[in-house]
Amino acid sequence: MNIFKTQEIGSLKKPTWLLEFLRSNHSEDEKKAALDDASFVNLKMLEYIGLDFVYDGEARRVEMYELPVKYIHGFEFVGRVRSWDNKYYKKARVVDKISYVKNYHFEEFVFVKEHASKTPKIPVTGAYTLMDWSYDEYYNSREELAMDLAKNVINRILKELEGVGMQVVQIDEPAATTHPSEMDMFVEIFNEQVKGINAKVNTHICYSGDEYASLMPVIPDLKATHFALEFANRDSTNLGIDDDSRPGYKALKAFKEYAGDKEIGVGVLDVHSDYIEPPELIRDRILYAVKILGDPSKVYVNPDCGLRTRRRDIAFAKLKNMIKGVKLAEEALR
Amino acid sequence: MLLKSIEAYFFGIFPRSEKLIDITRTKQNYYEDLLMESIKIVEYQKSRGLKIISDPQITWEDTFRPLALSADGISVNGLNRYFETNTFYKVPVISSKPIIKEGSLKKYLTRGSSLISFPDPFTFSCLSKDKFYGDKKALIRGIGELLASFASEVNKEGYKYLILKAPSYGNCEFKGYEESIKDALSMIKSSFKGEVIAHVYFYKNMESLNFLASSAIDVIGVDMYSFQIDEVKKMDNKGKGLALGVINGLNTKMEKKKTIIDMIEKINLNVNKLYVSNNVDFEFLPQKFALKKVDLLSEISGDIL
Repeated sequence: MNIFKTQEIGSLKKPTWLLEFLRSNHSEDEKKAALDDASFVNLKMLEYIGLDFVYDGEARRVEMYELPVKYIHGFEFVGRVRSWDNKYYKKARVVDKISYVKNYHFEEFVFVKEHASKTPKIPVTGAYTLMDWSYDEYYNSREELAMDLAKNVINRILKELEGVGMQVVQIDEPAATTHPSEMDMFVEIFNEQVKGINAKVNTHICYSGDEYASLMPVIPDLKATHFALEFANRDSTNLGIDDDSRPGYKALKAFKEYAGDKEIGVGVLDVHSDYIEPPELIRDRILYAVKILGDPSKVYVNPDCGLRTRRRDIAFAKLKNMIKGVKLAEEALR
Repeated sequence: MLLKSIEAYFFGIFPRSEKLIDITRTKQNYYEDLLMESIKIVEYQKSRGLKIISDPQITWEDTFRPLALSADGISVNGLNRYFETNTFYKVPVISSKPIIKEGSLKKYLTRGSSLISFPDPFTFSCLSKDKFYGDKKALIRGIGELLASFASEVNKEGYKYLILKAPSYGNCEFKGYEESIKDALSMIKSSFKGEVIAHVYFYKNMESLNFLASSAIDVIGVDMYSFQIDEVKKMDNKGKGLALGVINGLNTKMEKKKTIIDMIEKINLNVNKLYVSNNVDFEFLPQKFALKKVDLLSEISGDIL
C-alpha cells in the first residue's frame, strides 16, 4: 500500500495538433471529437504516469477564468489585461445580476468519469476568484457579487456534478489571499459555494504573495478537507530535510499549527521552470513535509500548480520524476 | 480660495492595444511596434488638449524592469504579485552598488513626453531583494542615488514632471527609515529640474501623506479611492501641491464628470497647485477603457474652480 497519494493540479498544455484543428475549418462534431481525443490522451497519460487522482488536463477549457465567465449571465468580456510581461488574460466586467446559464463542466466530467480508471478530481474555479478577477459595474460590494456567484452558480454546478458521480472536487481559488483584509469574506464565500456538497472538497490556492500567512489562520473555518499548495518555486534545489535546505516550505509549520487533521497537497514541482526536479530532491521535499507535519497519511504530492505553463514533454518528465521521488520517500520511511 | 486652474495628467504604465498584444505574441522583434504605439498615445493626449504629456511607458514590462536593466548591480529574478492586483513583476535583485548604465534608459523613453513615472525609492527597496547592502537604510539611499541618476538623465531628455509611484508606504513599515527616505527623495529632487510628485495608492496611510509633505518632493498624489475626502482635507500638506487620483484605474466603470468635480470642490484645499490624475497605473484596464478615462481627465482639466 502506498503511503502518499499523488495528483495533478489541473491543466496541461494543449497539444499543438488540437489547437490547429480547433482553429481550422472543421465541423462542430469533428471539433468535439478532437476534444474528446485530447481529453482521453491526457487522462490516460496521467494514469500511465501513475497518479492516484486524475483529470483530463483541462483539455476542453480555454482558461480557468475565461470558460466560466463565458457561461455565467451577468459578465461581459472587455479586453485583455497584463498578467506579466507579454502574458495577458481576458478580463470581464459584471454588468447585470449574476445567474446560472449552463453547467460548463458537465459534459467534460461525464466524459472523464466514463473513461477514468483512477479517481477523477475535477477542478472548478471558485466564486471569490471569479469575483476578484472581474471588474464590477453592477453590484454595490465585492461580497455581494461573490455571494451571488457562490450561491447561484458554483453551488448549483457542484450539486449537478455530484448528481452524476463527482467524488472529489478541487475548488481553485488563486485569488484567496490576494487581499488579506478580506479573509473572513473569503471563508464565507467558500463555504457557501460548497454548502450541501458531500463529495470530498479540496482547494488549491497558489502564488498568494504572502506565503500563505493570511490563509493559515482561517483553514479551520474553511469547509475543505484538503489544501493543495505551492512551495517548490520558492525552494532551493539542494538536497536535505533541514530548514536551511528547504526554505520554500516554511509555511508547513503554520499548516501544522492550524490545520488539525486536514490534508495537504505539497507542491514539489515548480511549474514556471523547465528544470526537471530530480527524484532525490522530490523525495527530500516530501520527507521534510512529513518531518514537519508528522502524519504521512495527510500528505499528498503534486506540482505547485497546473503544468500548462510547460511543454508537454517537460510536464511528462516532471511528473514521472515526481512518482519516482514519492517511491524514494516511501522507501526511506519504511 | 487660491486655486485658479487645475491641470490633468495620467501616470504609470499605459495598457497596450489588443492589436499590439497580438503582435507581441506572434512577432519575434516587436520593439518598433511598441514605440509606434507609444507615440500614438502621446499624440492622443495632445489631441485631447492635455498640457502635461505622459510617457505611456508601453515598452516597460513592469515598473522596475527597464530601470533594473539600465543599471549595473541589479538583475531580475522570480515573479512576484504586484500588491493586491493580478499582475506580476520580476523582482529586482541588488547584488552590488547599483550604478546607471548611461544612455541605456533612452530606448524606453517616448519622444514628446513631459512626464515619466518611476517607483519611489522606498517602494523600490520594499519590492527588491537586497544581496548587497544588508541594511535597509543603506539600500534606500543606494536606490535613491540610482533613481537620482535616472532622474537627471530623463530631465536632459526634456521631461519636466517626475512621478514617484509610492504604494509601499501603505503596506510596508516606513517608520525608522524616515531619514534615509528623505535623503533619497532629496537626491532625486536635486537632480531633477521640474516637479517631483509622489503618488500614494492602493492603501490608506495618513502618516505617509504627512511624512511626504515634510520631504523634498513638490506635490503629493493621493488615491481618492483609498482615502476619504475628509481625510485628505485634514492632511497637513505644508505648502506642497496636491494631485488627486480621482480616475479609477482599477475599474472599467466610467466616473461621472460632475461627481469628480463635486469631489474636488468638497476638498477645497488651500493649495497653490492642484492636479487631477488616475489613482493607479491604467495598465490594469484594457486600453479602450483607459483611453476613455484619459478623455475624462482632459474634460476635467481647466478653469473649474
